[in-house]
This record gives sequence, C-alpha cells and structure tokens, in this order.
Amino acid sequence: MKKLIRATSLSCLFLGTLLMYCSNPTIPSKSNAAVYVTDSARQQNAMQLVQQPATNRKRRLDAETTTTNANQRTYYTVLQSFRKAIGNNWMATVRVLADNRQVAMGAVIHPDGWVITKASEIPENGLTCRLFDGTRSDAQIKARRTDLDLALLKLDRKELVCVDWSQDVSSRVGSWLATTDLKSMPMAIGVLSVGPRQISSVKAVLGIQLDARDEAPVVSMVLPGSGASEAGVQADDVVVKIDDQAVFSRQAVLDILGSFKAGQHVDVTVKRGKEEVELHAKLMDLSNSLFDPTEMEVNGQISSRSTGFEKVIQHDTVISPNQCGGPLVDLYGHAVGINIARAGRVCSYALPTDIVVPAIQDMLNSATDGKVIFASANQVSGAAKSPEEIVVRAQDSSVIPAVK
Amino acid sequence: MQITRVRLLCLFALFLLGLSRPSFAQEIFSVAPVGERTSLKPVVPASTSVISRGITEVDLDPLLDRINQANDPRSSEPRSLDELRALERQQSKVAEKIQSVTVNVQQGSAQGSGVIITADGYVLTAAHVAGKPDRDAWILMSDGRRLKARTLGMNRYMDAGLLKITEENSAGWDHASLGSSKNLKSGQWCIASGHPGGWVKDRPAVIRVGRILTLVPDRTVASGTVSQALRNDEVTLSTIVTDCALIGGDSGGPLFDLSGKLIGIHSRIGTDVSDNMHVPVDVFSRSWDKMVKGEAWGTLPGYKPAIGVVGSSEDPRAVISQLVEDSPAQKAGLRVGDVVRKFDGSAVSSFQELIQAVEATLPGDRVRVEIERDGKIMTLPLVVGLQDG
Repeated sequence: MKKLIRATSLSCLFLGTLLMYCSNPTIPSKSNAAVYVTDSARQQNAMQLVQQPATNRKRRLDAETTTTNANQRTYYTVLQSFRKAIGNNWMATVRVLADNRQVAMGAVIHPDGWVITKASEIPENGLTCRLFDGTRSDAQIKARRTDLDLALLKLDRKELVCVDWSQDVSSRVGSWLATTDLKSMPMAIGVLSVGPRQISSVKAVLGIQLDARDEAPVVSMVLPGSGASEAGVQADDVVVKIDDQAVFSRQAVLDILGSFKAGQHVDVTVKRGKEEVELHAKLMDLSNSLFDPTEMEVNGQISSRSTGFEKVIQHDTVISPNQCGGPLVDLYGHAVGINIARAGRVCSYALPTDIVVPAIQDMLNSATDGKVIFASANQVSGAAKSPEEIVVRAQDSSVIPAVK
Repeated sequence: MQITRVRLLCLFALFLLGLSRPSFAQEIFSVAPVGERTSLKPVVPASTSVISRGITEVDLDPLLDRINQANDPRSSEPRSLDELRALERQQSKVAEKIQSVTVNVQQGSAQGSGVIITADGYVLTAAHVAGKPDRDAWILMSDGRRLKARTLGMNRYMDAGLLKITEENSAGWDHASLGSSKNLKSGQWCIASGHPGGWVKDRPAVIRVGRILTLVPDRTVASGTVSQALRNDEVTLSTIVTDCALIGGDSGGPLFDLSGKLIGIHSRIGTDVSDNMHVPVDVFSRSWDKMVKGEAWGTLPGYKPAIGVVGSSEDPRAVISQLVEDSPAQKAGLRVGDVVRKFDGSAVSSFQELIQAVEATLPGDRVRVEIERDGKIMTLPLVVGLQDG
C-alpha cells in the first residue's frame, strides 16, 4: 500500500511542476529537474521534481554545450574504438520495419534468410527487414517463443552473414558490451551490470480503470502512457467486446485481460455514445512507472514486455524499445546475447547465448519440420546427426553445406 | 488493485496541485539561519577509526596510464583495441572488489545505498537516505546479510550522510579504499555501484561505467539563505556530474575511479540519462568529526522543507502569527495564535527552534505537531511541504 501512495503522489507532483514549466517557456525542459535518487516512500511523498535556481541552470547548460560531448562515454570516438572489437556481427544485424517505421532490431542466425527478433514489438504482417548493405527484404514470421519473447523471421535471401555466437557464457561484470548497428560503428555501448538471473513476470495491464459503482464495464479513467491510452480508449467508453468475445460485466473484462501477457495485443470494442468503436491495444507490464510520470520521465521509454524472463543479463546500455531484438557483442567479436528489453533508466536486459541458441534450434525445427538445423561451432563436430544443413558460427561466413 | 491505485492518483492530484502555488510558505524561511544544530548529543565518541587502505584499490594497468593521466577529455578515450580491453579488465577488477563494500541502507521508509569505508563499520550515504541523526537503520550487504546500524551526522547542504554498523565484527568489515575528489578531471572514467530500485533478492550490487562530464563548483542552490560562512566552507567543493546512469535506490551508493578508490556518493538525477550527480567524497573528510558526533546542518539543495507559517523570533514562544494559504500548516488545521510546543518529536520553545525542527525534516515527511490553543493541548498530523524557488 505504501508503494501505491508513493507512486501516485508523485504523479501529481509532476503535474504541478509541469504547469510551472509551461508558464515559463524560456526554461528548457531538460536539467531543470533534479530527482533525489532514493527509493523511499518518504522521499516520494515529497516532491521529486525540484526546480533548480536559474543561475545554476544556466551554468549547467553552458558547461554542457562546450564540453559534455567529448566527455561522454558514448562520444563517437569512443564508439569508434569498438569497431575492431565487434567483428562482423554488424553485418548480421538487421532493422525490422513495419510501415516504414523501425519496430525492432534483429539478428541473422542462418545464411538462408533466417532472422530472430523481439516478438512483442512486431506486428503479424507487413514486415520488412533492412540489411547492412542497404537492401530490403520482406519478412514472414515463422515461429515464436512467447516465453522468451523471441520470433523467427524468414527473408527470401541466401548467403547472409550470420551472428558469431560466443561459446563462453561467463562474461565478467564490468565488461564492455556493444549493441550493433547496420554499420561498423555500434549503435550503443554499455557494460555488464549484473550476471545471469531470472526476472519474474508482473501482471500485464491495459491501463483502464473500470467504474466500481457499475456492474457494466464502464471505463472511468485511462492511464496516460498505457496501451489503452495509445489505442484511443476514452473515459466513459463501455467495453463490449474483447477479441471477439462479448463482455457484459467488469469481472468478465478483468478475467479475459488476466489471461494475456505483456506485449500482446487485444482487439477491444467499445461503445462510445451510440457508435461502436473497434480499437487495437497492447498490454503492458504493470510497472511502477506506468503510474508515475516522474519515473516515466527519468526512465524514458520502456519495453511493454520487460519482465518474465527465465534468464537475462543486465547491462547499462541506453537503448530504446525499438532498438531491442539485435545482437549484443563483447570485445572479442562474439555475441553474448540478444537485447530483449529496455527495462528502465539504468537497465537493459539481454537473453544470454545459452538461452538463445537452444531457442533458435527449437524455432527453426518447428518452422521447417527439422529440415534446417542451426548449430554453433562447438556443436558441429559431435552433434551433427542427420541435418540437411548445418550452419556454423557465421563469422567464417561461409555456409557449411549439407552434411550428408 | 488496479482500481484502488487509480483512485488514489486523483486524490493526490488535488492535494498536490495546491502546493505548487508560487507564494508557498516563502515567508518563514526568509529569516532562517542555515546554522548548525548543536542540540543533538553525540551518539558515538569522536572517531578513533584508523583509516586503512581498504580492499577496493586495484593497481592500474600500465596500458591505461595515458588515458588516466590525460588532462583533455579527448585524450582520455581508448584509441586501440588493446587499450579498450585494458579498460575493460580494469573495470571488471574494480567491479568485483566493490561488491562487498556496497550496501543497501534502510532507514524508516527510505531505502538507498551506501558504502562501508572503515573496518569498524562507518558507512557513507546520502543525507536524504539517512534522514536524521541518531536513528536506527538497517544495512543489507550484497550477499544478503542484514545488519543493525545507527544514523550519525549529515551535511544536508551537500547531501552527505553517515551511519555506523552497530554490530560487532572482530575481523573488521571489508571497506572501500578512499580517494579524493580534489583532482578529478572531466572525461575521467568512473565506476558506480548501488542497489537501484531498492534491495532485490538474488541481485548483487548493480555496476555502471561512465565518465565525469562536469564538476560543478559553485552550487548556490539554497540561494539567498546560505550564510556567508557556510558558503566559504562548502562552495569550493564540486558536485560531480557523470553519465553513470542512476535511479531511485542508488542514492548514497559509491562512485569509484579506475583504480578502485572512492571519489563520490550518488545523490540526485536530472531527467536526461546523462545527468547524474554525486557528492564529492572530500565533503566527508572535511567535516568528519562533526558528522561522527551526530551533528546535522543545512538543507538539501533545492529541496527545502516548509510548512507555511510566519512568526516572530522576538517572542519567547513559537506563536503562529500568520498562516500561508493552502500551506501544509493550514491543511493540518493549524490556526493563527496557536503555540507550537512540539514538532516531529522535538520540543519547541521558540519560533527559532520551530524553524530548526522543520529544517530537520524532509519535504513529504509525515510529522505530528503538538500545539496549545485556548489553553488546550492538541496534536495534529502534518505533511511537510517543499519551499518554492
């Protein structure tokens, strides 16, 4: 309960502060807020957004314009020094697009156009992938692993460069990790913050409040930033259908929504006045920041599915939700995982290789009836049973043809 | 569950929007001295700790000499793969060592981080994590051990706080090697650890690596109300700004240089991810004896508590002569003419003492105010507010 109060009170503070900012258009919205970084009910009941005196603010901005860039760990010359470190993995990195908009990154895992990406960020249809050489190819979803939030895509391509998977899953905390781009300079860099661990899942929510006084599912409030708000659900809408299932009570709505996972979409039909409106909304993890604009502000954009993973490594790379799904590479040119979620200001998650590789095998298997087999190099020698085709770590970039 | 949350949101919105009125409670503090509090008894005798080397210091890889000695941020960047890998090895070594000295600090409802700096268990943290001197607190180690501690003094002006583990450990606690915040340079690499989001089971301290962006020497945050003496004392120290990303729960956690020496304590953040501020570690050594004695002084930068009452410092009692509209005091039900006798557990016998008692709280604290009205004694609950501007 304490937590609730804290989260809620904050939001309002933020509203108040926002108003103040609005009344003074000359104040840049950046850096006029300072938030004390305790996780405390005491703190949070109080105002977290604190305006700094004008003199101070000005000084800070001046300092930033003159020196900050060259100082930052993400300054381009620092990123440049990673070019030699990441091997050819950038050539195995793709951008996943829907309606010409980037929705995720992806990793080529097999030369015949097989790509993996983050499942909950991509729509069912209309996908295209852009490759490092500037070409584009349409992509079809061939398999999914909802538990890991991975999807397997197929492009109509041959002889693609594949990700070079790490055989060693024991990276040390503090090690550099590069998130690759379609060019030799990484998109972003960071370090391993926490070694492998499980992230248990939290409840998925649509972001509507139903009026408790009414038996019928009447929306009394829509949480800003939630899936419902983005889909256009409005207060006073009456929910009549969810995924083609008619609903008549609050409880029915809660029951149906309770069966979904974060990142999944639902079709919600609402009655607005006399007309019925059909909306398509995404469920999100019930995270604190959903209730808390201050946290939302300092955290930036968070993946709608950022919990419920059997095993992840945590790193401090600053990426956005649509930059997840691609390779995360160490200084020795090997991919140690796939970025799977942006989970907060200090926190990005990646599925480590020892989770990803079996999942790829599994998805390839189910998509091709076992006709295409994926293998990383150390498995080739012994484990080559009777696959039609075996692919090794693609750094050698040559496809190892059928081992028949 | 979801429904309850949302309803609360509305209630608080109403309440807090009121607080953002520009005239809010300014009056009371125009006369406030930001002096030292001397009323608190020392909890622990002045330090006899021998500051030993600590366990976190790591020899610097010779390959990093150029990067570490660079005066220009452009020269402190790794230029070759060898340098980059050397940097990585150095970071990893430090990251490993700082686990056992990084702790989670729990005081009342606050949760932050801290760092052990002596074998006998002194722990540095942020003032806003420690809260107040002479209170019970808990320390949670990275390995899950839970230890009793007591809060000591704090320099709220710089957001520096001190605790001591009160449990015995004959072997001595693992502790950080102390560095200095004196010769820091922008562009310099640094390593941050802490417990973001509070204590999480099976998650050790979380490591981040970044660089010093700026050193902000003149922090005139409590503008106008800081006495000249205090200003001279504090202002030569620079707040450290880095791109080691911090979030709630990190406050009080340590910032190390590449050789594993402690240079700062996490304090506050801006909305931009590369806007992270740290208390320079020299603040602690400068006022160590005062802090060990349990003294607390100053107010947090830009975070000054206020309740919105006006009174006279001439009057021998703390009589409220004026009440600010929509202030916490008015909301709590205080009236003009009330005599405040106790504020948050401290006896108050003059308006001056009331000012001091308010300054010892943090905005958002829920406190009890004992007043005398028409010969009757009553106690009212009050939520401390934030002074504007």
